[in-house]
Amino acid sequence: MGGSVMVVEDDEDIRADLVAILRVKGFQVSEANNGKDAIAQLRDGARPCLLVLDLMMPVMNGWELRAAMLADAALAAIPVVVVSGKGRITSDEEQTLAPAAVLVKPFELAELLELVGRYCPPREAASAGR
Amino acid sequence: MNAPPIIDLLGRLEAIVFEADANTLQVTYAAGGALGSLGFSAAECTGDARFLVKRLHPDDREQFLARLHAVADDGKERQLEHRMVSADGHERWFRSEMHFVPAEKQVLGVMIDVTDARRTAESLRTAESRLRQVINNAPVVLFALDSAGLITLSEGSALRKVGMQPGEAVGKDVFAVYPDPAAQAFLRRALAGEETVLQRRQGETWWETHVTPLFDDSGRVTGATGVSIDLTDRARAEEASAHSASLLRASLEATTDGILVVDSKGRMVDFNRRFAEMWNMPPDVLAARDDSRALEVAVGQLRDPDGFFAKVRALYAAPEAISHDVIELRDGRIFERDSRPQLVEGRSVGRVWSFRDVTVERRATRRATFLAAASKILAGPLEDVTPLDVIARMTVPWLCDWCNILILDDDGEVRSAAAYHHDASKIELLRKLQPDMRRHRSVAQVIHTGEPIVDNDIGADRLSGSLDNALPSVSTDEQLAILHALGMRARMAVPLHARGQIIGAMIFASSDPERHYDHDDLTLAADLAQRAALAIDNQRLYQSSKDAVAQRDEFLSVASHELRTPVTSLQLAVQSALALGRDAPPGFLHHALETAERQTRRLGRLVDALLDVTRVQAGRLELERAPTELGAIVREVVALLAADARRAGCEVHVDADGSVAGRWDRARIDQVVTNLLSNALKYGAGAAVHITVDKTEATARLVVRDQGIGVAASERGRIFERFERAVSAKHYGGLGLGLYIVRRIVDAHGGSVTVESTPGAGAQFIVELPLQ
Repeated sequence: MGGSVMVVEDDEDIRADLVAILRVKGFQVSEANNGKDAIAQLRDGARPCLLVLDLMMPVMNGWELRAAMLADAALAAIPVVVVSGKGRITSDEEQTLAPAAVLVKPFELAELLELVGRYCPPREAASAGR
Repeated sequence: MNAPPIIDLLGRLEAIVFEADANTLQVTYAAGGALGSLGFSAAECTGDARFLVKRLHPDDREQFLARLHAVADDGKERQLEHRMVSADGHERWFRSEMHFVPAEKQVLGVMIDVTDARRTAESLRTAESRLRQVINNAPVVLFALDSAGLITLSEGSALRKVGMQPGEAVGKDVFAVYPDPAAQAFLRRALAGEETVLQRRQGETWWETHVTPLFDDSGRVTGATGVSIDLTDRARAEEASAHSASLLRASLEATTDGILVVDSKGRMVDFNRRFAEMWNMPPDVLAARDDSRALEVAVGQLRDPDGFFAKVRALYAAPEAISHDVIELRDGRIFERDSRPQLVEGRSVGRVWSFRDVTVERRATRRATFLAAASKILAGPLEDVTPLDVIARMTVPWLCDWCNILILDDDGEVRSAAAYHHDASKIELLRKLQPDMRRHRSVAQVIHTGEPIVDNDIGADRLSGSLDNALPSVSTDEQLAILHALGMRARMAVPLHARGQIIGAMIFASSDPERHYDHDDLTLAADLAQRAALAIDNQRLYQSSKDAVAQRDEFLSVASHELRTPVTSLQLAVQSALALGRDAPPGFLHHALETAERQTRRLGRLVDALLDVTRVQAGRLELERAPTELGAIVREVVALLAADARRAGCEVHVDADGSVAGRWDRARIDQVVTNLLSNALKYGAGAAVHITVDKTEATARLVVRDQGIGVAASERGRIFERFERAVSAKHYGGLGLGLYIVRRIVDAHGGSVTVESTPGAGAQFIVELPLQ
């Protein structure tokens, strides 16, 4: 809670890679393979410091998840990094999704790590701070 | 003094008796009543020695005196007519007889007043001369015959026309002069006592001869008188008149215009056959020249009787006026009407009406204008159906009372793409009119066969009452009620053709029982339908090209996603390995390399799929047939996709015990199985997937069954098309090419692929391949 990054991505390879590298980099990570899975965790009380969100997913896609989060006062403030698989998103989409940042696949790992670092202090750093 | 009786008698005679001295010529005695007439007395005469000389007219004096001297000289009596001058200066004529009386050496003269006698003779001469002049100049021949036929009179200037002089024939036998048997018979009848008239031609001259027999007191014919009149000029005039009348009649009948001539009171004077035909005039009306009934007949056929009457009244009020206008008949014909006065010596005595049927020309012009306008409208914006609405509206009211443009949809039903009714409140009702497409009658028949239909004289009873008697296109009471409300006594239904397909029909209907659609109307309707169909087809092509562009854009978006995913994974693996380097936890690098290898293969498959689409699209799908065992392929594919199945959470069960072998392209069949299994894993919702391989006598059968989201009935045909998927691209990745490629490969092998599904409970894809 509080310090975890939630990776919402249906492609198992990408999700596994992201989870692995973020954990190695010292972040607490949770994962969901579609929007429905993610919203269930959020409604269960999960409050990630950052949500890394793929858009094109089965069952419940990224747009639907984002709409559900924004409609829920408890979840609307959670920062979201949108990872777009279809190239750059339009300004209309940007307005709808209200992301903290947008990454276009294939994105630079360093860029993602920088964003995650900005919103989520690493475990070691957090503990060191205490 | 008593005058002796002889003297008294002399005084009563209009004469003068005188005695004159033979030597001196002095009147010694004069008496007679004529003296008084001259204004003298006997005493005056006898007393005046020069009386005679003075009272003789100066012009006659010398001659008189010379005669008197001569009588005195030789004693022979002489006569002379001469003039005397009266006391008041008038002259009178006298005939004087002079005798010598030797014993008395006197000349005795008797002067008798002949003034009146001379005047009478003079006037008779004048009269005769004038009569002769008249006879000689009269353009006639006057003749008289005796009872034997001898000509006793032959006068008249007209004789010269037959080469004779007046009087020339007198004394000749009339039968010799006129040897012509008809003339001889005629003359004999006259001489037998009959008053006769004969018209005959002699040379270039026409004669009319009247002969009147002459009778004596006992009633015997004593001869005949006759007059022959030259009728040539009159005959010529009559001939010319008859000629021009026949010319006029022939011209009247030869013209294609209907012509009516009326007098100044509007009564029928003349007309031609065309007039009777154009106005359907009953023969009895024409025979009676009954103008009031003729007017009734005409007015009964007019669209605008009031306007017609107004014009007629205006023209009769202005007899000199000329007018030209156009009238429309209720049966659709159009006449040009021309009216001008009939003038005789500049005075209007009546009016000539001519009517020209210009229906064909006017309709052609109107049609051309209409079609040009329609084409322009149909060439307008394609985004909505407004042009068709305008077209439907344009046809009302001159072609129909309501128009419905029906479009055939994919399910074989028709819907109204545009509708218009002259009563705007009925347009919504019109849209609800739904021909029964199962009946293959009426509108459905037009759409099925492409042949137009025309119905005239639709009885009012066929729009109400029982369905059995209703029009064949109506199958429900509700539809019948709609048709009844719309009104339909005549209609045309024409197909909408586009690129060899029938895409719908246009219905034109009229509620006017007198409306009859003819060939021209049908041609116009077909022309209009052709243009409308072209516009509809253009709109569809435009829409489908827009759809194709949208589909391509979506495909590019999906393809980009599909390519980005493995590249992202590959890049993540490589970049994280590079980032961690030696700090990587145990096994991390190995895992990263495995990921990279898998993603490279995935990219390869994507590229292959894209290339396959290109090949299939270009018709270059070549098969390398070889003996192939289907079950073996299935087992290999399942083994290869084991990792994917594990990630999808699906168990894969294979039932392929017996040998199912055929001559197929092994690599392509491998692709079929791979695509179907990948699909099953993707949409299988993590439930078990079953693959069955078996065969019938001639067919190998592969069934791939999942228990996932399934495929809706409406999507089952579409999913085998290029770039299609049954689900939103926002949820499921993939190029949308897998099933398309499967179908093309199976087709190329002469087999088939079908899908059966219960949405939400899974789908099974069945591939059948010929064994030989």
